[in-house]
Amino acid sequence: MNRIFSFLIILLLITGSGVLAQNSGSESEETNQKENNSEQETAQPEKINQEQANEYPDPNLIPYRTKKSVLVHFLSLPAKIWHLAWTPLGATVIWMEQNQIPQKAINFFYLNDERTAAVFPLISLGGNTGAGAGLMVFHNNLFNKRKKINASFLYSTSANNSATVAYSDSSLFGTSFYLDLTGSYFNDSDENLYIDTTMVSNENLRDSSIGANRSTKDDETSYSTEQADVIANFGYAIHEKIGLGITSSFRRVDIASGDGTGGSLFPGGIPGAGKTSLFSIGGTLTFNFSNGWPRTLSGTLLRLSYTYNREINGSRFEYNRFRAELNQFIPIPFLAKNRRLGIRGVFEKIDRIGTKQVPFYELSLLGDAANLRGFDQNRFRGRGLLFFNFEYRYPIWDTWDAVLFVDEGQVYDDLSEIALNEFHTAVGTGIRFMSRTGFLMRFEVARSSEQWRALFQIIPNF
Amino acid sequence: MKKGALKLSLTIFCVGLCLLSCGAQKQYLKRDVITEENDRESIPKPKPRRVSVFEDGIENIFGREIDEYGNLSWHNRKLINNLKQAKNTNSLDEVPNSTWFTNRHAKHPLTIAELKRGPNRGGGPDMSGNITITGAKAEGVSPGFRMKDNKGVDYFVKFDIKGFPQLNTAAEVITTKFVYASGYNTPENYLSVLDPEKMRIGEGVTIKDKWGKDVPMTMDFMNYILSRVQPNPDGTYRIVASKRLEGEPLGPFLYTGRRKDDPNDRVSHVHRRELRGYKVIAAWSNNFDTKANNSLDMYVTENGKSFVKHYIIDFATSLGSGGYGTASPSRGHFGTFDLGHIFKKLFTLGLYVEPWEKKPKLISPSVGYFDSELFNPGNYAVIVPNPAFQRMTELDGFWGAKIVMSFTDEQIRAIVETGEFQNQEDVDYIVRTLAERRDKTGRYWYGKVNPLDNFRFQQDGNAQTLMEFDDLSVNAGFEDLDMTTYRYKLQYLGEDLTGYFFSKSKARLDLNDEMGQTIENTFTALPGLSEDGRVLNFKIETLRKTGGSWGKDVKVFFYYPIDVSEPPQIVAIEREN
Repeated sequence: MNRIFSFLIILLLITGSGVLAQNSGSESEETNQKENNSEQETAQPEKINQEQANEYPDPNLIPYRTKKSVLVHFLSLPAKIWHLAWTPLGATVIWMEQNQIPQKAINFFYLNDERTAAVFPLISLGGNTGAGAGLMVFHNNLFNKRKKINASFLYSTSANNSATVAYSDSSLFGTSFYLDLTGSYFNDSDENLYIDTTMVSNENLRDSSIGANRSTKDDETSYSTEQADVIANFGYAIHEKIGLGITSSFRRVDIASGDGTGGSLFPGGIPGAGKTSLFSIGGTLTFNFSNGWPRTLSGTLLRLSYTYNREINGSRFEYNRFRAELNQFIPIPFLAKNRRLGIRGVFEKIDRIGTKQVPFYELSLLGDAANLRGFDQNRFRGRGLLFFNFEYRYPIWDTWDAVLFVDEGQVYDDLSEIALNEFHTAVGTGIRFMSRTGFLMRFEVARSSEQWRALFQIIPNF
Repeated sequence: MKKGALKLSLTIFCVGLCLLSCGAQKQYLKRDVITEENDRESIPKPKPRRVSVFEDGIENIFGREIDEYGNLSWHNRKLINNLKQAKNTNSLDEVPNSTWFTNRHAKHPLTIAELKRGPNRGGGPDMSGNITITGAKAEGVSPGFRMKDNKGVDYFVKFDIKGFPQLNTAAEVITTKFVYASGYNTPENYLSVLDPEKMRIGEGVTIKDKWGKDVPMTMDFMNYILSRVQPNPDGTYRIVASKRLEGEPLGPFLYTGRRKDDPNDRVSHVHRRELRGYKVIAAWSNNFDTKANNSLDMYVTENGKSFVKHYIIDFATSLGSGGYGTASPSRGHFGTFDLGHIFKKLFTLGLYVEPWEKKPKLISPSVGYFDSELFNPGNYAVIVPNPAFQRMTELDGFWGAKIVMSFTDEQIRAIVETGEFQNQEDVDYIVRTLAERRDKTGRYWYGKVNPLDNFRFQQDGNAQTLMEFDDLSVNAGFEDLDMTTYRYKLQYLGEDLTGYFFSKSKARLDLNDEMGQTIENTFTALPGLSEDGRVLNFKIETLRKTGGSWGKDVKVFFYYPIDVSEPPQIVAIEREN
């Protein structure tokens, strides 16, 4: 260490001498005329040579050139290496600009000059489809009447894909009525299911054994799923910030044992195994008093929903689902208003009707990029859930936010099971990019008591 | 290495640092001060060049960061306060006139009429008849096009963005005039009115389609441009028309290196005082976009000689204008992808709140975000790091501040009024803000050096020789002359010839008989000394308040004539920084 220290000191002194030598002329730039004057003048009048003493600053001396000591060159080596490395990259950038490659690339994705329609690549990491890539097509101003349509396809493996088509009309025939239509398809040969395997052969398999709040990683089984959904949401904007909607959906699901860990343990008798068709109808009341775009800076968003669900091709399943979601955005006092706390609380309750059951895949789920991050996908299931997201969001650049978050959540079968010590915790941090058109991209890393999880998503959390 | 050796190393280190920071005194001779840089020699036409906006941006954003952090030589210079000073200054540390810069208002105050006229030499475009569109605007973010007016003169046209009347066009016109009066070459920018009914698209005019192919320009395209800009109530459009510069365009100049095919371009641009010092003027006027593409070299012929002339263009990103509507309130405080700022915010968890984040205030749609309260002249950030600005030293800053301080309130108002704002409140606000920013600029940079200037020798009524000067801080009202004391002594080649003399509350020094005799004795002891070697200096320091400490010095070198009836002649100035 001491040797290094000594070396640095000596280096500094030698370099300094180089600097000093440079400065003996007019700094480092010497002229032909001044080349002979490299000796530093002393303060002794009798030694002055008038010709050598001429140190007049003169920008007219030709030619201008730089004289630097070897050590000055050496010390600027890191910067020189960067410039050397940058040369081919810079040439590439110039070539790209001259050939309008960035514009062409952007134009390649957009389908019209107004840039309201585009085809974008889609990438997902750590979400429902695991790591996947695909395409998203959208048009945000269909018929020039601000009607929206979008379609996306995400491919992970041949047995794990998802596709969605959605249409949104925020003003039906120019009225305050709105209509959203969504159709989706999803298949996966390895969906997680955590189940108490001692109950596998039990014909009276209870929901509380399926992905229960106290299930462990050792309880992992796997199932395959193929499902298609059609959802229609028709509503009325009571007020600019208040909407009332009626939602109806049809779902077709085919469940079998999966090819992942514990696939052979998947219980064939579990409610929902095999092919099922489900129908649901319900209502949603939304109060959106949040403020800010593209960053939500303050305010409240409350969404209350109820759906009645039943099986179409049988009579095994019939249940009600209640859900309340409250999002609150609070600017941090004494800081700028764009430092804010985002809090989301979600309460969900599923009530079986009579002795009818609930398909296991319809149970409330925790362990997703949108709720309890840091756990496996679909880690916990129950006939209800309660979770909270606490996010501290702050800007680090014009269109970039950093976020620190804590997720707390639990599933339950009965309200009496809800308890403070039943909450699962995940903590994490991330970076978010948002465009002024509302496009959002987030990269997050979360940690739970069970594992780390990295997420890369292009949909907001809340 | 043992403790003793370590101590020895430290001692050597400290002594070395001391030695490095102490240079011997240069000797000056009696010479005329250079006021013209000889860079107007005829040269063959250099090859026109294009500067890639992206490449230049990335190079400056990332490359300069690495330069700054990776160049140990630079760190060494900073450590010993030995940064490279500008190379194109004369012995008075001023900038000679050149193809880059002409000493104007700060040296020879312009009249109100001259300030209002700025670079304009005509009456602007003739819009009385049809105007012909000759091309689309290829650079920058603001919508515009090229045209020939009714007389066939070429102009570049820019608009105000819809919702922001006068914002961009006024900023362009006003800042052009400030920059021109400061001494830089700028285009002639005129406010005018465009009647869309008189627009005609010229024959063969094309635009690039989204795939980069040339396609004929259509009125649909023009209507698309007009749909984005602010119309007047009568359906016309307020425009700023920038007259095509004389000569042949050669593309932008870079703020670093030299133009190798221009033999007149002898000084590395990072070491040009007027380019370094432009940061002060840009900061004052909030001209935050000073990338290379907002400059232009022209191959011109003047007085029978053909050479390159250097222009600064495009001032739509100044005052509160962002070129496309208002500038972000963060402009001037941090640049694009400023990694330092990003990491600072990231790791302080947002607890560090920038002052501009607390009170962003949109003054009006015509003014945008433009304030003096949060303006920090010493920490102004342009949108893309400018290599010349990065090399700016306190002497460059002082030079720039003198230019900024040369504009009085009345003169600022005269120029701002040429922006033809609709609301008088907007004019008043911009004038007040510019004046306040000017004063902040002066206080900051004058505080970095000993701000004594304009030294001249006089004789009082008793034939006693005096050296008078302007204390710029006192003249600006920043300091009180009654509370100011100057101490000075005579030196020759760094050796003291006298002890300190004091001048309290008077901006002048006495060169009395006793000093004259001392000087004569010194020169007499040097029998081989030529006449033009009779140069010595006053070293002057300033004390602002009783009980305070003496500030940095300024050395004034003067030729002391053999014939004492002749006045001494100032030959050089050195400022401690």
